[in-house]
Amino acid sequence: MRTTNAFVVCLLDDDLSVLKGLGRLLSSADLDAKSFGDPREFLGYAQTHRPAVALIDVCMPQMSGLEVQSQLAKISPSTRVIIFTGKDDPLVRSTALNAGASAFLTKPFDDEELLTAVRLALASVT
Amino acid sequence: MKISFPKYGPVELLTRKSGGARIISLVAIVFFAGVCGRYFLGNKLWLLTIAVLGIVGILLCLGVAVAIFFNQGKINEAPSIAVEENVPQFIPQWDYRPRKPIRARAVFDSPSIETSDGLSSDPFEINNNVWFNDNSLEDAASTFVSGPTETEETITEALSQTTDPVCSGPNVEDAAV
Repeated sequence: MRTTNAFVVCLLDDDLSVLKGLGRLLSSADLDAKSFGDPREFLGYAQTHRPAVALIDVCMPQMSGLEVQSQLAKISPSTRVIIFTGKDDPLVRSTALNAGASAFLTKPFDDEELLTAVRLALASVT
Repeated sequence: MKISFPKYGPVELLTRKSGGARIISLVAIVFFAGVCGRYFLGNKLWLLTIAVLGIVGILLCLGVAVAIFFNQGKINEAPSIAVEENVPQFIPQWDYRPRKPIRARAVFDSPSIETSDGLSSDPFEINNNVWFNDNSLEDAASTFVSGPTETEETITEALSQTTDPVCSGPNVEDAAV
């Protein structure tokens, strides 16, 4: 499906099924989604392309989502970060939000919740 | 998701049995018609063939009509509670209900004030599993407060301004201004 949206929303999760589902959801909302399973690959892409929004999972084997967020803030400050995780840890939540994350979602979250977070992030970019 | 499976009682089993009997009877009628038709055609009894085929056709139509009539009666008579109990039900454990509207709040003076203890009062929280950061969403939230339509227009307008697929949006400082 071809999107007319100029803003790229990056997805970063080690779970391919999550990437697939979220990618479909964002595509259905006419958002250009790019999925990444490897944090380093994502950071490389972000450094060159500077995506508008990045949805990042916290728990990943290669690198934690918070670490990715920290590095992303250096290489692409304009990118809005939405953190999602399956474990609602207040400390992680606090750290992510204080580091500038636009939203923090705990799984399972509703489609509309995610899209609202993404749209808010996109609106704040503009 | 909770899935409750149906427990078939004797009534449901009887219904299934009667449905099977109908199918068997239909097959028997068709088989009988085929045998008779072959015999009559073999002996060149054209009138009898036509008569038998007509009778079989009428019987089939009657059977279908009766089956439809009885099924419709069952649907009308079936209590809704029984249906709900017997049909697999998908009961979501949680449902998205915006308990509080998304509000624009004052920008935090010092992000370091926000700690895990501070989150107990949930300054970011919208509902149980979504937390928004007011620092980055101040502009967006103000548009959402006035109504989703305006927000959509704002986003659409903003998106239409950029045609380059590579995002080159303004910095945070620019957006804040």
